[in-house]
Amino acid sequence: MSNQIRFLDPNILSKISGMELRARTVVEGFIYGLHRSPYRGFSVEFAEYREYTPGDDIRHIDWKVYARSDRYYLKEFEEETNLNCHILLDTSASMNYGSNGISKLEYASYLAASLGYMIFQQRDGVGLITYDNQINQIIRSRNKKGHMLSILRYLEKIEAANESEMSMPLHQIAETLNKKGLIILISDLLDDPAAVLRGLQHFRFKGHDVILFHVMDETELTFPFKNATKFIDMEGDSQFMAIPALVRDNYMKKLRAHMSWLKRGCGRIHVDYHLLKTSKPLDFALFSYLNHRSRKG
Amino acid sequence: MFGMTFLNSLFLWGLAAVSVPILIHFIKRNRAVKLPFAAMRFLKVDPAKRFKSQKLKQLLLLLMRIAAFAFLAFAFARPFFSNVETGSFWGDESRAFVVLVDNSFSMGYENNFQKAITKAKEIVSSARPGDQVTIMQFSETTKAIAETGDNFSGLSNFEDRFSLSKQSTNYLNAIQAAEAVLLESQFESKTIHLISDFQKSARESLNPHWTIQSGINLNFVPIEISEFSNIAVVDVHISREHNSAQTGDVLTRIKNYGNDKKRVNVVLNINNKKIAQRNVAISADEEQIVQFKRVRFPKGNASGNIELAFENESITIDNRHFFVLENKTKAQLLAVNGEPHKDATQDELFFLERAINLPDLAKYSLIKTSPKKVRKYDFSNYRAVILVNVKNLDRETLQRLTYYVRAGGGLILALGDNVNPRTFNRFFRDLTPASLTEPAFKSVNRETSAILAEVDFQHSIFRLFAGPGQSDPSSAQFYQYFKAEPLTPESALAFFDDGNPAILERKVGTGKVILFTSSLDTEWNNLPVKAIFLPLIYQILDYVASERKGQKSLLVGDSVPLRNAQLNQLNDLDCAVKYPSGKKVEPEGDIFDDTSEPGIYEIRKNSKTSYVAVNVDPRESDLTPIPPDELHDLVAGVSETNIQSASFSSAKPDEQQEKNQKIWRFVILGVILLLIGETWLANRTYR
Repeated sequence: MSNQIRFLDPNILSKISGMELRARTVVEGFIYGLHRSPYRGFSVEFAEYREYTPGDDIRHIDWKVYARSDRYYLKEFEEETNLNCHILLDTSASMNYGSNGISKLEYASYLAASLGYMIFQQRDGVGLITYDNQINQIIRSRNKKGHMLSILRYLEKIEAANESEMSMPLHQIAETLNKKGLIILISDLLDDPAAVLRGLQHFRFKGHDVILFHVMDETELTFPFKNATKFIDMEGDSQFMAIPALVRDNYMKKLRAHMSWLKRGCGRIHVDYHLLKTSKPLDFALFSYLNHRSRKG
Repeated sequence: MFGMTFLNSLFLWGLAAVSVPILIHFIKRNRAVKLPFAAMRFLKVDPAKRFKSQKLKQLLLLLMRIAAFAFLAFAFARPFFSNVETGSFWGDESRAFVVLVDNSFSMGYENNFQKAITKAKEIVSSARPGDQVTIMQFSETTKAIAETGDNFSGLSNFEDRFSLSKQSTNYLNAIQAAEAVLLESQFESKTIHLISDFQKSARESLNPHWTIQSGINLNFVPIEISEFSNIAVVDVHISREHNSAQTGDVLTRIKNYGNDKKRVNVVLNINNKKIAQRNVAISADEEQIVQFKRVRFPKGNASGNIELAFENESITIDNRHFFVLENKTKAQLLAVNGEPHKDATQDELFFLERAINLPDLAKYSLIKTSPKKVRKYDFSNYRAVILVNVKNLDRETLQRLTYYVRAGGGLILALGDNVNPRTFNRFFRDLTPASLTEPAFKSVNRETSAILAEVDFQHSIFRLFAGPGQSDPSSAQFYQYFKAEPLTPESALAFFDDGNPAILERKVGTGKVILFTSSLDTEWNNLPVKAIFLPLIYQILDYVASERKGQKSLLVGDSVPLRNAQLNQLNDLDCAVKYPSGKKVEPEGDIFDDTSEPGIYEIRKNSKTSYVAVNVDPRESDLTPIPPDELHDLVAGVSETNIQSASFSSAKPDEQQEKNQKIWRFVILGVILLLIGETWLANRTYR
């Protein structure tokens, strides 16, 4: 397995040209690692019978059972796999930050591609929405041939800019997506956590399942700087001169409070929260997704 | 002039070590790296402030390290104040100082006096508010001319109050006056600034047994003279022919103190008439005696002067010397016989009278009296008073005698069996050079009598007997004398072979007292019948009387005693003085002391007129300077002085040097405190 996982390393992925190839490498490597075939188990299967109640669609009445029992029974099936999944990718300027050769945006785009590819392979619909302080791009969820390619091409040329202002675009997206589905939000969440949670709650209110991937760089989580540093805000003009040793405690305290707020808030509104470090292999995210889907049964 | 110097100035190179912390600071300092960062929201505290405070702390640390290195080098260099005028280590405490400006007539050479005033102004200008400043001018007398009161207004335009005097220099009086002012001051830093031409001759004015109080600093400021020229009349001597008061020789000593040969006209004036003139050439640093022979003197009292006539002389006041011609050919001596005897041969004064009252050639004449009758005599008419075997005198006479001696009179005390030691010590304590302890040494056997064994042949009394072929002082035998305890070891001039003093001397005021512990007759010794008696008596008389100018010839500034009549008649004294300038005054009191100008003073007392010649001190004419440090050694009593700085400290060397060098201890303490502070601050500073 280690050989396969090696290909999931974001740094190695970044050296592979082409988003499609990257996504396939991740997903197939991940699937091979699970010793399961990706091409089986996806069909419309019978589930149970249920007695007819007024209002039910008569198209689903099993006439053979009626002939035998003189009762109306509806034949129920496992829902088909044409899941509506939208991947919401934060493309604010802060996503450009990266310390170990890969930026948060690159990592997030690989993740988005891999997830999309895997979902697409499961014959579910995949869409991509990018935003910063506004919605930049909406590719609605589909499962037609060539759709995934257009998503991957878009992800390949994606660029981050502008400051984060998640509240408004999240609400707009929530209003846009009428059909219930799965929302996968990939962001560094460097915004007001309350606003983020209000946006997520909007999705939940509309009946979406939400998975939140919180992408952070290792250095943002540990603040390992030593020398006096002039920190330049990537989303604005401000800059601060600081001696890291003196501000680390305060930084970590605020960061922990921020993440704790988000985690607790997500728990409250039943949003799956996953923290992803850009140094971590992407399979962790895929595991998280599958785990989420299996729980949803 | 003032400032800090270092014992080990090489250590000051250690100051270069201050570059070490500076270099380390710049090499090791943290340069801020620029980093675009995303999670700025967690940094938005007050990092800028903290960074600035760190920068300040680092700067402070750097300064402390630099200061520590600098102070360390400074301490090793052992700094000290070369002149304690700066006094306090911190240098801002108030000071007391006296500026003494020499205004003796030698300062009139060229513009030396003006230079001295300028230097005084420079010193006074360095005074700070709160300082106590006293400015004095001095010659024979010392006078304060300005001092600070509540503010500095007392010092404004003080230079206008300086004036050149006609007196000679007296450093002792001046320094003692300044010392008295400073001793009253509460300030710790006390300094005397003495501005003078520092003539070699003025050195004599200092008393080798007196030193200034410790704690008072001396700063001698010399007025430099490279080359000078001055010719002066040193002295005039009148030599009358015996029994012929109308004719005599006038001898005068002329000295060229300068470096060039000069030709001068020496003019003799008597009663304002030119009597004679000599033209003499006088080489550099040469003294010549000019003689005017067989000068015919006018009858009665007369006065005259010797005048030098030549050009280009900066100091002219010493070119004229005044004298008074008296009709008396013999100086009178007053002998008080304590035990007169009807038989002349048994009389105490038998031998003395015969020794003095020699026919014709005698220069002294002896007037005899008794203790009871002496109150009628005016001592000022006598060159010396001789008390022979006198038990005591009445109080008034004793007071007059004391006053007479202080004013320059001579006194010879000879003892005898009439003298009681206790009474003698009590009555003559202000005059006697020794206190008598035991009545006498008595030798029954003349074979075991005492002789004069130890004599100070350097003294002018005994100098005559030092050479070969002279009378031997040890030839006389002494059977009886008083044991005496000298007031000072230097008082005794001759000792008996048992170590007891025989002849003692004491200077009282400007007068001299000689005590002979035996008698002047043959009752206690055989001295009067020995060959040495006559020359010894004359030597003693010459010493106590002839050197004295008396009231007839004084120096500028000397006082003329007026109280020479009986005390009970003093209130009726009718006295008037006429100055050489013609001004007349009627002096009050016992002394006329305003002899501020040279010339002939006419003094009229109770319708009796006498003349007094007042001259400038010829010693002042010699401008040869002396290094100030020599004078400093005398005044401060130290052997080591710092000549280069011309700035001296009178405190004892060890004590003073130690005091001055204590600074390094404070500096080391400062270094320790700095290092403690640096450690404390460094632990609180990001590196």
